[in-house]
Amino acid sequence: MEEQLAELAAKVAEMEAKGNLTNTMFAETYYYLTIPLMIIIHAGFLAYEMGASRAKNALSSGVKNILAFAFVIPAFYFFGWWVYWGFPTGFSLSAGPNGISGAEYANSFAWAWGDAAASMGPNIDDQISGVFWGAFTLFAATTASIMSGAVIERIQTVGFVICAVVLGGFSWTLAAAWGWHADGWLVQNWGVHDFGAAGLVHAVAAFFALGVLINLGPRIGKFNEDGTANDLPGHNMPFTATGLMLIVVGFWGFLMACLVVGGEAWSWGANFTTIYGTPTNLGALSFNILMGVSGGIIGAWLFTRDPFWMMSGALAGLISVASGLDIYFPSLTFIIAIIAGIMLKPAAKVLENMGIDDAVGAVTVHGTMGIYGMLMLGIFASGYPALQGAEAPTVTLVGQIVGAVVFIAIGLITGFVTSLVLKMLGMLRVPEAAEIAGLDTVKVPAQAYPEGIGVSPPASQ
Amino acid sequence: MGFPFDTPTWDSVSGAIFPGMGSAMPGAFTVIAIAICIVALLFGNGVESSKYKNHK
Repeated sequence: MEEQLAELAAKVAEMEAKGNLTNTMFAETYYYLTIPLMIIIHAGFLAYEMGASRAKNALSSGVKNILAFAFVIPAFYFFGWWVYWGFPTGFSLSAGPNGISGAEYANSFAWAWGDAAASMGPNIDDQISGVFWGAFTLFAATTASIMSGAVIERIQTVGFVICAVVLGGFSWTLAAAWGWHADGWLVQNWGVHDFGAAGLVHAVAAFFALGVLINLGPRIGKFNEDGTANDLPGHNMPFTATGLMLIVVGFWGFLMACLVVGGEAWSWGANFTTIYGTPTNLGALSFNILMGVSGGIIGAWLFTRDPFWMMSGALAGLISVASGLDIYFPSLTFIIAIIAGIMLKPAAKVLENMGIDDAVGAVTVHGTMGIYGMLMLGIFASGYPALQGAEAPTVTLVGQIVGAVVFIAIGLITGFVTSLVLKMLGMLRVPEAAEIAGLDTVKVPAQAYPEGIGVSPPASQ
Repeated sequence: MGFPFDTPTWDSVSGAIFPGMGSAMPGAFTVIAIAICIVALLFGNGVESSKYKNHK
């Protein structure tokens, strides 16, 4: 009998070990797969921005977008990851209540030198650091792509890349440390809840872009002497609309990566949770992402009938509900998103009337709708615990307003200051002659359409 | 640098497995990589500026 019990215990232990290993490998694979999914966002932004550019600037816009992706990755490796873990409690760099933040903690694994380097490269005992870092790096690269579209056709390439590095490596990361990290002071003190990063990714990137746009100025020909605006349509609307749909596809990976897989030492519990440790699952995301995208498209279609604004509406709808994708009822999601779609073009017009030339409406889609989404969560989810565990802070409208103001300030100030310095160094705007001639002709050793964009006659019957 | 363990096999190996692990080399590689990024941007800016100057 004792022998049988011992044998049974050994089998249970073996099964438990196998179960744990399977769970660990699932967690690693889960985050790994979010990375290529999020790269689809960048494929989308690449197509979107090249299509939204006039033909004379199509490749230049592409080069800029590709370089932002390339430079943000090492920037996030060199210092962005450290910022996320070092800054949650504010500029004091002290440890937070969960003991997973502060300079000392970040120094132990988020630097690529010293003893911490063991966590920043191949390590057979660490199956999560690399994939977590990869997913966060793609969040960072997404912020740069959000800013990228707003400034096309007149920003210098290297000046733009420096802006992208500051935004992707520092600005959004600081916002994430404060409003996403469980030790973040906005979460702990104000109960800020921004599950899908409507504020801390989208709004921060959009207001960073606004800060850059203020110093960059409008494209030549955008505004008349009396202040009225001209439309400067891109050369390939089908390409732009397809790119926007690809961005929507990629956001499935982005939002998937916002979940914390259960059952691991670093998990909040046995099942999926949000990054705050509050309960949710992939089912909640499936309901709400689809209803948000749908609502945004319909809302934009109602008053524009324009595929550009309809697909921008898809993004606007998704962003407007991102803060609460984990808890919203899908019909409410649809209502919030359809209002976002309706507001989209008028909100972009307000910005244009202020003399801001946002070439693709990025500030409106990501900024205005991101802030709108954060406030909607404050209205509909007030009283929800903002963190796991007892005595958690609760979500309030005031807390969401505070979070939104902080995110706007982080984006706007860092974007304005960075671009102002670049402007003083002569690295922000291309010369007038180059802008008029077209940036592809001036600096890209390739042609977008060497045979022109002709219309082929139909084949004879 | 080579294999960073005393044993010639993968048996009983654990932890970080990259060349230079446990030495100052990973940090040195990081510093060099940062420097390369900065030089690439400076070089790119120089080329870009010359393109603008040549197109007046």
